[in-house]
Amino acid sequence: MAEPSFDSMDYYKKDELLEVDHKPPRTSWMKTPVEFRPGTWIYPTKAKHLEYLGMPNPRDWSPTDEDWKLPDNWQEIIFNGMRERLDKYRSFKVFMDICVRCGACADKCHFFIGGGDPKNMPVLRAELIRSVYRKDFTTAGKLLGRMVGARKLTYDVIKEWFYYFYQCTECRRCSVFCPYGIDTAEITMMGRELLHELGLGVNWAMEPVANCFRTGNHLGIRPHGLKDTLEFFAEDIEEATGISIDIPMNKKGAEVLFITPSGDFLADPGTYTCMGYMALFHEIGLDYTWSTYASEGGNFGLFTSHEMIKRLNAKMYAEAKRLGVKWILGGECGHMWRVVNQYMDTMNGPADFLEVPKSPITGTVFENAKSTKMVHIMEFIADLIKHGKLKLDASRNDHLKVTFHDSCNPARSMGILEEPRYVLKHVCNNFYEMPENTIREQTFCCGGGAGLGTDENMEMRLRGGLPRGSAVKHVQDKYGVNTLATMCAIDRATLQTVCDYWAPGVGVSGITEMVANAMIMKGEKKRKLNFRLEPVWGDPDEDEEG
Amino acid sequence: MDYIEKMKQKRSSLASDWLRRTLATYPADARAFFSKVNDRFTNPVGSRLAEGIASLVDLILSDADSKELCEALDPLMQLRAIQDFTPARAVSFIFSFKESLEKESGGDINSPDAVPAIRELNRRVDQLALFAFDIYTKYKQKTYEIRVDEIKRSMAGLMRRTGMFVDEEKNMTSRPRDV
Ligand code: SF4
Ligand code: SF4
Repeated sequence: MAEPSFDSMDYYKKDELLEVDHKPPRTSWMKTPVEFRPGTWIYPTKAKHLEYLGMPNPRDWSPTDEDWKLPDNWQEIIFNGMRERLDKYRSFKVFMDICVRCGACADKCHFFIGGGDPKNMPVLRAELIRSVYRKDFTTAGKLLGRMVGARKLTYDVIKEWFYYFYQCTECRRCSVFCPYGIDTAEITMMGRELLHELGLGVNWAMEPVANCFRTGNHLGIRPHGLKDTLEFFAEDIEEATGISIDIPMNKKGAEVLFITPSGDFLADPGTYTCMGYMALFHEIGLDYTWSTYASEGGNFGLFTSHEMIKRLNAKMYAEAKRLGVKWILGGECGHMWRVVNQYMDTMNGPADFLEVPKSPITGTVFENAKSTKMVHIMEFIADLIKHGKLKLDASRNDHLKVTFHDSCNPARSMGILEEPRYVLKHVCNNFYEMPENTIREQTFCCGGGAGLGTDENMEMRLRGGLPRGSAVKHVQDKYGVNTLATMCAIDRATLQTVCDYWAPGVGVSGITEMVANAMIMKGEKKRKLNFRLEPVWGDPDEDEEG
Repeated sequence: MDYIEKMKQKRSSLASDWLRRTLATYPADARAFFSKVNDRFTNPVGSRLAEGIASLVDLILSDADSKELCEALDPLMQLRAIQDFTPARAVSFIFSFKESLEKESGGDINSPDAVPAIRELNRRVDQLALFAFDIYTKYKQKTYEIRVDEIKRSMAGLMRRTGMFVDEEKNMTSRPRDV
C-alpha cells in the first residue's frame, strides 16, 4: 500500500504517528532526544532576572548541560501546573482534546517549511504536550499508553519542550488553516508557562521583562535616558526640516498618551520611525505626552505567562489614569496589539476611566477601540489622510520601491490589513504586493517573534525566515523592490537580517518614517535630508534659495 | 550517439533521481512535503531544490563554465548552509549525482565511449563539490556578518547619541548591501 501523504488524514492515524520516521536518526519522534546544536537555541534566563521577578528556580545553567538543575519534584510541578491550566483555560483543554490530526496545519509553519524538522509541524509541536496529557489525564492513555499516542513525562520530554516551544514564534499562521481553529500558539504559551514553573526560560525574553519592571521598558532605559534620546531625535528632525519640535514628557492632563515599543528608541531603523511620530504629532498639533513609566508598548509577558502579560500591561493603564489622559495612542508594534486586542480587556479592563477615543483633528470616534481605549497609529494616520489633514508629497519617496510585510500580530490577531496599505499608497508612488499566499492573514512570520529575535539562534531564524525572504526576493527581482515596509518593532530589527540573507539589497522601513518623509511640514526649509539624514533630495552643502 | 548525448536525453530522469537522493538527506516527513507541493512561495525549499538540480544537470552535461555552475549552485548552498546539516552533509548531495548517472546509464555504461565520458563527468562533479564548499562557506560567513550587523543596529541610537562614531557616519552597517 502506498504511504499516506502527510496532508491526508490517514497519515496522522494514531499508530502511524508513532512510526513517524525521523531520519536521521531512525527512531520515532517520541523517542528521539533533542540535540542542542549551536545556532538553534537561545541562552537561558540568568538567575538574577528570575530572582528579581520572583519566579521559580533561579540558577545559572545551560541547555547543553546534562543536568538542568530542576527541582526534585519537577514532575509533580508539571502535572499540577497542567491540571491548574486545564481547569483555568478552556481553550487549552479543548485544544488538547479536539485535534483530529488531519494535517492541514502540518506544512504551514515557517520553521517546518524552511528547515524540515517534523517536530516543527504545528500538529507535532502540540503533540509534545498532548502526548503527556493523554498519558496522565485521559483514561485511554492511562490504560493503553503509546498505542493511543500517550507517553510518559521524562527528563528528555522537558528538554524537547524547551527546544521546540522556543522554536515557535506564536505567529498563529497554522491556526488560520486548522478546520477546528486550534491555535498552536496558545499551546506553546501553555508549554512555556509550564517550563517557567521549573525555571526554564530564555534570557532574551526575561531580561526585558525584568527591565520593564525596573525602568518601565524592555531595554532598561531610565527616565533621563529617554528624555535625552527623544531630544537627540528632535535635533535630527531639526537638521532635516529646520523645525524645532516640543517633546511633552509625563504631561498631566494631555489629551493622549502615546506608547510605542522601546526598540524604537535605540534600534535602527525603528529610531527613524520614532522621529516620524514626533514630527507628525508636532505637525498636526496633537496634545499628547510621552511617559517615562509606560515607556514600553511591547509586552514580553506574552512570551512568558498570562500572569506576566497582565503585570506588564497594567502599567499602561495605570499611567493613563495617573496622567489623566482621555485615551491612548499606540505606535508601530506587533505583539503589543495582540495583548491589547485579545487579553487586555479581560485582564485589566475595562478602562472606564478613559474616554472612547476621538481624534481631536478629524473628530472621528474610534468605536472599535471603545473598550480598550487604545488606537493604532495606522488607524489614526489613515483617518488623518482620509480627511485631508496631512499635506503629502508622495514623490519624495520616489527613490523607494516598496512592498509591505503584514506583521503576524496586527494581521492575524487584530485584522488590521487595509489601513497600512491605504497609508502606504498615499505616501509613495511605487507599491508592490508580495504573492497573495504570503500576505494578509496568510502572512509569513519574520522568524524572530515571541522572544526568538536574538542573534543566538540565527540559524533557526534564517530557516524560519525563508518563506518571507523568498517572497521579498520575488518582488525584488520582478519589480526592483528595495524597501520592505512593516509596522512592528521586532520586524524592523529581524527582517533586515532576513533580507540581508535572502534578499540582499532590500532595506526595512517603518511606515510612519515614510509618512513623515512625505509630509510637507508648515515652515519647513527646503528638504534635502530625509529622517535618516541621508541626502536623498539634494546636496545639503549646496546653497540654494529655499 | 555518444554517451553524454544519450545522458542529455535522459536529463529529466537524471534530475528526478538526483533530487530524490538529495531529498533523502531530510527527515521523511520533510521529504514528503518538499517533494510534494509545487508553489515557490509556500514550499520554497522544495522548489529551490527541484529548480536548482534540474539546471545543474544541464550544466554538468553541457560542460558549463564555473560561473554558470556557481550561479545555479548558489541558491542550493544558501539554503543548506542554514539547515540542520554538518558541513559534509550539506555538500554530500553533490556526489550522489554519480550514483544517479550510474543508475540511468543502464547498459550504456559499457559502451566504448562511456569510460572516458564518465571519467570526465565525474571530474565535473568533483569540481562542483569544491564550488559547493566555497559557496557553503560564503553563506556561513554571511550568517556571522549579519549577526554582527544586527547587534550594531540594535544599539545604533545609543552609539550615535554618545558620539561613539569617529566620523559622522549615520548608518552603522556600512557594508555595501550587495556583498
Ligand atoms: S491542529 Fe487542526 S489542522 Fe492541525 S492536525 Fe489538528 S485538527 Fe488538523
Ligand atoms: S504559531 Fe507559528 S511558529 Fe508556532 S507552530 Fe504555528 S505556524 Fe509555527
